[in-house]
Amino acid sequence: MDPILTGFGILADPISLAVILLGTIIGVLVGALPGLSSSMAVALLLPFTIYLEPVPAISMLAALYCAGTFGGSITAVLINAPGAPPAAATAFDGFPMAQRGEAGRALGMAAVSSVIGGIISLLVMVLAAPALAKIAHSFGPPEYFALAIFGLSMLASISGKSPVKNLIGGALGLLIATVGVDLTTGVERFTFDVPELYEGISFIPILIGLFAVSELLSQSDVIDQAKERINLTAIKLPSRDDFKQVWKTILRSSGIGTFIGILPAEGSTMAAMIGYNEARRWSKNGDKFGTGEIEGIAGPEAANNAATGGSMVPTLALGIPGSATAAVILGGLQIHGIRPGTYLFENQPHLLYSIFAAMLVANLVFLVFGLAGAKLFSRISLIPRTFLWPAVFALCVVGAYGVNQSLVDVTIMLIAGFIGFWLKRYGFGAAPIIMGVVLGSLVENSLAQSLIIFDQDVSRFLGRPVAILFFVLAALSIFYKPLFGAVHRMRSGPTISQRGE
Amino acid sequence: MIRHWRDLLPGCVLLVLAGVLYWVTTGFGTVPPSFAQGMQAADMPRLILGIIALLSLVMIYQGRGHDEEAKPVITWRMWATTLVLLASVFLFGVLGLTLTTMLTCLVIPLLWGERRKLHVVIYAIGVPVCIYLLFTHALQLRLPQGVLSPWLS
Amino acid sequence: MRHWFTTGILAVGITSASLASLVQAADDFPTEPIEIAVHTSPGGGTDTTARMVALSTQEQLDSNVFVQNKKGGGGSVAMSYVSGKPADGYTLMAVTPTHLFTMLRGKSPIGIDDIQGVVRATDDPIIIMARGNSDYETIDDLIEAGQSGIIKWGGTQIGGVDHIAAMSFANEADIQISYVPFDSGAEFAAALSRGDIDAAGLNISETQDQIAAGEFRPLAVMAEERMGALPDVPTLAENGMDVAFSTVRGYVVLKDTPQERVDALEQAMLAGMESERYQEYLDGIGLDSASIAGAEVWDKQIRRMYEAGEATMTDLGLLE
Repeated sequence: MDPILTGFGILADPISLAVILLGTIIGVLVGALPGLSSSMAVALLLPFTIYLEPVPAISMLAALYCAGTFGGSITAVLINAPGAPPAAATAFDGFPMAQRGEAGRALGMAAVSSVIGGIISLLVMVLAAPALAKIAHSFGPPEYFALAIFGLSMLASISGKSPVKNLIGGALGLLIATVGVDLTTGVERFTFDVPELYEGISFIPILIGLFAVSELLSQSDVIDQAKERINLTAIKLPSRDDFKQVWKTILRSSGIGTFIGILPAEGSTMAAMIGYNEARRWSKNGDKFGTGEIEGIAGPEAANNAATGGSMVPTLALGIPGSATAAVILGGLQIHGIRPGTYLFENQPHLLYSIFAAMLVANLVFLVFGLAGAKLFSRISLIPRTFLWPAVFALCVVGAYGVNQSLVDVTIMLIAGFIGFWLKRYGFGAAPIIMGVVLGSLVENSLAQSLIIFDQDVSRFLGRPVAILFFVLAALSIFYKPLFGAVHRMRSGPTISQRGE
Repeated sequence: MIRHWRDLLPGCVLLVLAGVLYWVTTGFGTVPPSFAQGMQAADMPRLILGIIALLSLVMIYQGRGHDEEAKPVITWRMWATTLVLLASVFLFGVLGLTLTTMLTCLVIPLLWGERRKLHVVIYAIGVPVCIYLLFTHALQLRLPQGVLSPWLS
Repeated sequence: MRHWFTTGILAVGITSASLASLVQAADDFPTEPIEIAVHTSPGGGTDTTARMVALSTQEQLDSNVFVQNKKGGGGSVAMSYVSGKPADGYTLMAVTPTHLFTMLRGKSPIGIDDIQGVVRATDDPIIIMARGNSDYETIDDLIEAGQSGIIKWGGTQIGGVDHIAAMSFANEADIQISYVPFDSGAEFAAALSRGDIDAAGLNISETQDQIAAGEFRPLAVMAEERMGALPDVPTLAENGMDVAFSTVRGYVVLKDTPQERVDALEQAMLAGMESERYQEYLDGIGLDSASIAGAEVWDKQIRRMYEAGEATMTDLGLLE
């Protein structure tokens, strides 16, 4: 208990508290600007943190990271441009809601579910961080392969569109992930002699293209709607009934996010996707997902924020960052002479708890920020489209260019935008493509690594219990519907169906 | 004929794409035999391409006898916007971000039928200036300025 | 003419100190921001080190020093970026063994003769490690096991410094290894401690706590001399193997940069790295001031690594 108290003691220090608040506010703003990612913001702030003590410095960066993940959802809802990869799933239902004139309701829900997800995960972390670090440590290539297969098992059902089209979308995503030098052979694939493609296609340009640029093209043909009707409801926050409807989704997603977050594999994006898919699977309105269902916001938002807190565990305890931002925070640790690794918890246990304290503050701050801001930001959805979208495009260009300072990334964004527009027209959603891109290199690399470790003997997967567990979950995820249906028919016969949730 | 084959067009495009990319995989470099262990570099892409081809066939088969779903009409505006976006990426390298943004913010609203000409002009100057001040000065992010680089850094 | 005129006035009793400042003004460097091009995204060792160096150097100069991330192509994007800049000393490039291997493969617009070294910032030799509870007590045990069976060896991507080092060791020791590539050092350190792999070439910066706790056992250092932090661990050279690889990071400018500017940069960067803050950073990653070196040593080292890399890669069949 002692290190926990020492760690949370950081909140009693006014300077530390001030920099944590500053980090939170910068994080929300940066996350909300599609032109700037939280990894860039952390990298830009790094030199300034040098003048701080190590613990407040890292806490500030952690608060920024946490707030950045939340900030990303603001633009995802308002202009269909996720400010950060974990917010991609929020756009699926958030943007349709904003278009319908319910931007405030969507933003408010995003804020509240983010905060609940974040706090639940932080409580779990405070109670069980060392144990969770052990779980994260026990995940080797075979376990990651099984986890990735579990992720892929959701492809067919992730959006309401035709399962075959979802699978094709997922396969296209996997294909995008194969671009670049193959990890296990060192061979260049689909690089077409462009050196920028050597290390693979960056995620952010694809994301901005598929969402924002393709939306811009769709908007070119839209006839102006009557703005007066939208005006009335746009700034309304979610109602009590909304929360009654989503509290189960929030709890479920918080659990998913906390668990996926501790695994160092693009944790929060994957958590958001799984959170979205499970929200859809268990919802009564599953078929309407993608057209502006409020559960479709609560699901990914609670999960990605829960995962952001969780991702500090592998970053600190293993030195393996779960995201681009965590990678820069890792650099921040080293600048301050803190060595990440299994022994960090033994040597400096209070550091971890200070970081959790900072993230807790960040969560509380952006609850206020998010709800007050929702009213303000939702007015953006009232800007006429002729003025909104050109500015969005300019920000998209900055965002795609900024990550790697590369024109190739801007071109990729545009190509992704054109392809995204035509795919959408023929009923292919963005969700499975994003899922494929996120899981692509994980699937292939962990399989190749496992096979070398197992001397090319596939049966040795059976010696890894955790891997088996995920394979079983994957099978259940695919076959649960037919199975559930069959069992149900046998049991209940002609009586009224009372499927509980 | 085609009307009763829903998804025939995207299916064929995907099949052609899979074929072309399969041909690209045959050009992948080879590794010295001492490094080759298990999976080859081309294996995974070929597997994925095979799956895409197979699923496309399934999709075409599922769509037989169905009519194409009603889709929003594509007008000349979409094509013009596409051209503007394409042109902007080419101009980006030459003119730099600020000037290119100025042009897109001028052309797109007019293209989309905005009538308030004065608003458009103010907008086309305001947006790039704001972006320049915000990113280059407040956030210290270096953006390419092309022909303006001697003056804006 | 003007020069004579100024000295004429100066002769009327201005101190020699201000004379010196006037002479410097003849080549007023630097007056603009200096950039360091790095071949990775933000985060990670090379980027973090560059940011520390930039920060420390900045305090020695009147100009800003900033890091420019030019990711891609095993350094070739950064190299073509730098080669497109004037050779005026305002653009530095971070160089690691990866850059040299990329040059060797002919995938870079510039060659080894187009650059000159300025300073070296870190020198982190690769150490062969096994699990603390494994049967491999010494490097000979590992070699023996590798001659009768196959050693599973962890490292980063194929064709990178870890891979070349491992293959070069396997060649010299005549052992068989099965190389398992991972995305980062921390990942194969975790794989080693789980027992998924038998051995790995790791840096001390990633493993000092594990070594101290006895979880990892360092068997040999891939360097010519023993390390200050691990005085008891033999080098491969002592075992009669000419295998020396290290994760070095240093900075270079284009060859045609005026010599006085290179000297000015070298001085400022060396002074910056002498600062307490940079020394603390080195200490934190398990290194000491032996990592820092000036232009002469560093430039020689780049060329030596380049030649060694060429020999190894030809042996391995990676070069035609």
